[in-house]
This record gives sequence, structure tokens and C-alpha cells, in this order.
Amino acid sequence: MSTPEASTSGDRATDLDAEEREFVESMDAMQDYLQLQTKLQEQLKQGLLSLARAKYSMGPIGQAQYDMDITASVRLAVSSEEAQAAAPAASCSRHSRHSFTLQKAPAKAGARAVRGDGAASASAADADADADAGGEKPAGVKASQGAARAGGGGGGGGGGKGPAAAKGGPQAVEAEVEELDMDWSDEEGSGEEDEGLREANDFLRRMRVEAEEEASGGGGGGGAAASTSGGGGDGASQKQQRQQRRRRRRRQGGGSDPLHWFGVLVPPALKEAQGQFAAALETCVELANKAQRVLPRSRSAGGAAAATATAAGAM
Amino acid sequence: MYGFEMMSFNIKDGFLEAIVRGHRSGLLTVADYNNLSQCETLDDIKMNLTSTDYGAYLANEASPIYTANIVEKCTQKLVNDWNYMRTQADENLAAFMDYCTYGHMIDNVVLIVTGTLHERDVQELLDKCHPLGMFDSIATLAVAQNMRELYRLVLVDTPLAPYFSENLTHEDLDEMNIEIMRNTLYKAYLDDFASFCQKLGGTTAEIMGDMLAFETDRRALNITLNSIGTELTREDRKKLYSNFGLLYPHGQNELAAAEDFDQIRSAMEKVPAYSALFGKLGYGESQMLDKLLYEEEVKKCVDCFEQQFHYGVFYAYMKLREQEIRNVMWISECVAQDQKGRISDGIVYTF
Repeated sequence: MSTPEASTSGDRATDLDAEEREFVESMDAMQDYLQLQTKLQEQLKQGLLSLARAKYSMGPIGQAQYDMDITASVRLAVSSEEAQAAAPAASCSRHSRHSFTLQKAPAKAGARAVRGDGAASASAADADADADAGGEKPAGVKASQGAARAGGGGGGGGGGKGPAAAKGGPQAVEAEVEELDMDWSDEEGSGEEDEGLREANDFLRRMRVEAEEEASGGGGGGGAAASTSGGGGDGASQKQQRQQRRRRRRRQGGGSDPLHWFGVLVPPALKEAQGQFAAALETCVELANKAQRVLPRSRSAGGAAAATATAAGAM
Repeated sequence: MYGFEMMSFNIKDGFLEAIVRGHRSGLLTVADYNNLSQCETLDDIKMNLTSTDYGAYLANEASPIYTANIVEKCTQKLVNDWNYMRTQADENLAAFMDYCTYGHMIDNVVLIVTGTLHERDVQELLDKCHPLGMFDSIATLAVAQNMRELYRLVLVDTPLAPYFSENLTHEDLDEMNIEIMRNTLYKAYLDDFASFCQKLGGTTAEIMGDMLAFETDRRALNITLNSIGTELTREDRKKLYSNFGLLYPHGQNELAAAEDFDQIRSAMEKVPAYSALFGKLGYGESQMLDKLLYEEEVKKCVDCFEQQFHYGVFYAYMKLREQEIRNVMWISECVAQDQKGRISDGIVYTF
């Protein structure tokens, strides 16, 4: 792919303009990047100090208190702008850029798992996925609007890409959110719970069938004994399964906030630390997005090199 | 009552009082803390600590040393001192020293039960338990699934048995219940300890009464402060406050009704002993509160060494050592995080 070596000077001028604009955009992005880095440093410092203060108040805190059942509550969606670009000026090769967005897991996870039957939990999962997609769309739009803003400064190819990216961004994010949510709800206990219920039902059915057979085939006493033992047996197993399910369900209900791993009455320093680290996480994602912007968007093999050489020569 | 202890105390407990006073003179001084504050790395801290009482414990630590290791080794010193004294203690003093450790026992029980709830391995949890609070059947705590089982299977044979009330529920153990259980046990323990000290009479009763009253008020304050914004209801909160102390009963009623820091402050300021404390705190500032409370406790502990022939010195020694370990932990954290300006936020000087 090569930008046709502009025969007319007008074409070369617009190329130079585009390059210059991209250069400025890239410098701006680098400045923002450095500022964000200092901000991240501050946030991490404060977070760690709050953690030390919490240790001062409540004794040693460490990995020993983690829940072994951890599932991530915040996930990162990576959407590539290249895939969405309808780019008219796509003759130059593009350095693919990605935009990153954070998705927080649905908060009603515990409540969802409480419902026993599969149908209800599936519909709840759908509802949550939609709500989440709706909630995350603004975040996705924000990120790709940032891209559009930066892209808008990039002149011809960039401008064409901007709106296309803005449209494509939320869709990509949405699609990923839905599929991530589906995965997440599968990981949850609702699946297990259904299985538990199904198992219990199967077992009951089996016992009843056996009991019937015994009763019809065997003697009265033996049959009665079998049926009562069958009844007692499946009662006990059901109770055990119910206990297991209850334990699993309750743990999921409480496990949505990792702050509770350290007890319910935690010192305020620990709550502050949680907030600070959450903010630091968002800054990290912004940093990653900015880092993408720092690199120049279009990098045509011969043309750009020549253009920048002339630009450098002119300066 | 007073003064007659002079005649009989040394018969049984004179040796151990001398030992504990010897240990007390080995606590870190202001000069030691200044040296530690000027360290640049954790290895410097370790080097400085080897010239103190902690020398033997830290000298053989491998080089990449972490805050948690330092704290662990310093705690080991306290444990060794305590066990040495405990094994030589006679009748009343032995019971007293055991009472001092029940708080750690409660913390260990809660640690194991919470860890089991989070599906951790029991062996790992046993390593993290405080050594002063161990008892024989502690590993079997992992089996219990609700509070009734916890009591019937394990705790009924431990010294904590009388602290479980009759209304044990079949409720499964979850985080809120465990927290309530911890605080209920602690309340019963403090009530029991206070009545034991009153039975001992004399100087011990007076001094320990004062220190335990402060301890229970401090716990009430912390429970209230930490429960702001959680699901703990007011009635539940009220049930966790002890039945003695300067805040009982009126201050506790007000604390139970408090919903934010300023209401807590106004409730506490009605008690003259604590109004001075809260006066030092600026408006809306709750970070220094912990340090001020610890300072108050240290002051009481140091004062308690002024009198002789009572058991309070043992309790005070334990508290002072724990505060010292907390100081060292804070200094190590600040040095490790390159925040040396904040060191003075957390050190409570003993002398």
C-alpha cells in the first residue's frame, strides 16, 4: 500500500498538514499520559498508606483473608477500532488501536443466585446483561468519543474514522459485555443450584420408582421398609443438598464486596483504601487508552517517511 | 486492703513481678524510635533493632526482609516472655494471666471460622493465629457449620465456653453473624475479667478496673465508628456494648444512636475523662483518633508500673509490648512506602 506520491503540490500540502496534526495530537497525548502517571502514583501512594493505617488499627491484614472463591468483579473489554473502521482512505495501512473500557460486574449477583429455577435465573441474567450494557454504553461511548476527539484532529483519514469508530465502539463493547455477562452468570452458582435441584429430583424419582417396585414385587414388610428407608434416605440427602446450596448461596450473596472478607466492622481506613485503589484502577485504564493515542495513527511505508523527512528538513 | 499486700505478695509472685519489671525496662525509648525513623530501608531497621531487646529474634533473618516478618519476630519475643512467666506463675496469677490471653483466643477463633467460610486450608490459618491464644482443639473449628455446632463440638471445652449465651441460634455462619459473635464474646469476656479482678481485690482491683473500663469504652467507640454505613442495626449495636465502664449506661445509649462522627464526638465529650481526648481532635478529623486512644492506653499502662504488688503490671506489659510492635510495624511500613513524613502519625512513645 502506498500513498500515491502526490503529483500535485496541493496533495502534498494536505499530507503534511495531516502529519503535523497527528504529531501535535501525539504530543498532547504524551503530555496527558505523563500527567496521568503522576496522578496514578499519588493514588497508589495514598491507597497503600490507608492500608498501612488499617493494619495499625486492626492488626495484620494479608492474603490469608482472601476468599478462595474469588471471581473478578471488574473486567476489561478490549475493542479494536480497526475492525470497525469503514475507512474511505484505508489505502494506508493502519496501526491498529485498541480502546479499553472497564466493566463492573452486576451488583445483584447474590440476589440472582437465590432464585432456584433455571428459567427465572436465565431471565434475570438477560435483564442484568441489558442493564449492564445500557450502563456500560456510556462508558464505552465516552472512551470512543475520546478517540473520536483525538481522531478528529487527525485530518482526512482520521476524521473519517472518528464517527465510524464512535458508532462501532459501543456496539463492540455491548457485544462483549453481553457475552462476558453470559459467561459470568454461568460461573455463578445458579447453574450449580439448578443441577443440585435436578439431582435431588432425579434421586427422589429414582427412590420412588424403586420403592414402588419393591412394594409391588416384594412382601409387605420388606417393601414398606424399603420405601421408608428410601424416603428417609432421600430426605437426608435432600437436606444435605439444601444445606450445601444454602451455604453456597449465602457465600455468593456476601462475597460481592471484598471488603467483607476482613470482617463487617472494618476500620474506616480500609474503606478509604478500597476507594483509592478503585480510582487507581480507572486511572490505569485511562493511561492505557492514552498510550494508544501516543502512537501515530497512520503509518504508510514510503509516504509518511518521506513526508516527515521533508517536514523535518523544512523545520 | 491496701498496704497489706506488701506483706504477702512477694511470697508467691515477687519473682515474676521482678521479671516483668526487667522486661519493661527493655522497651524501646524515644532515642530508639528516632534511630528507627531515620532508617532508609527495612534492612536498616533490622540492623537497628538488633541492638535492642529484639536482637536475638531478628539477627538471623534472611536479607529480603518484609514488614510482616519483622512483626512476626517481635511478636515471638512477647510470646516467649509471656510463656516464661506463665509457666512459673502460681495460683491467682496464673488465672489472671490466662484471662489476659482470652482476647487473643477469641480473635483466633474468629480467624479460623472466617477462613473456613472462605474455603482456606486449616493449616494455613493455624499459622496465622496469635500464639498467645492457642488452645488444643482449635483445628477442629473448621468442621462447624453454624454457631450451635461451633459451641457444642469445640468451644464447650475451652475457657470461652461460659461466654456463649444460652440463646444460640441455628443460623449459619456468615460474615455479619461472625462479627456479632466476636463482639458478643468479647463483651462477655470483659465483663467476666472485670468481675474476676474485683474479686481479687486490693490494688489489682483498682488498677485493673480502671484499665478495663478504658478498654471497654474504647471498644464501644470503635464498634460505633466502624459500624457507620454498615447493616448493623442500633439495637444490635447496643447489645455489643459492655456492662461497665465510664460510658455505661447513658453514654452507651447516646453512642448507639449516633450516626456519624460528629454525633459520636458529642456523645463522648459528655464524659469528662474523654472530652480532653476529643478536644485534641480537630473538627471532622477521625484519622488521629486511633493514635490518641492508643496514647491514652499507654499512659495508663505506664502509670500502672508506679505501684507495686499488684497483677496489673503483667497486663500492662502485654499492652505496652503490643503497642511497641505496632509502632515498629508503622515505621517499617512508612519506610517501605517512602512516606517518612507520616511516621509521626503513628508512633506512640512509651516514655
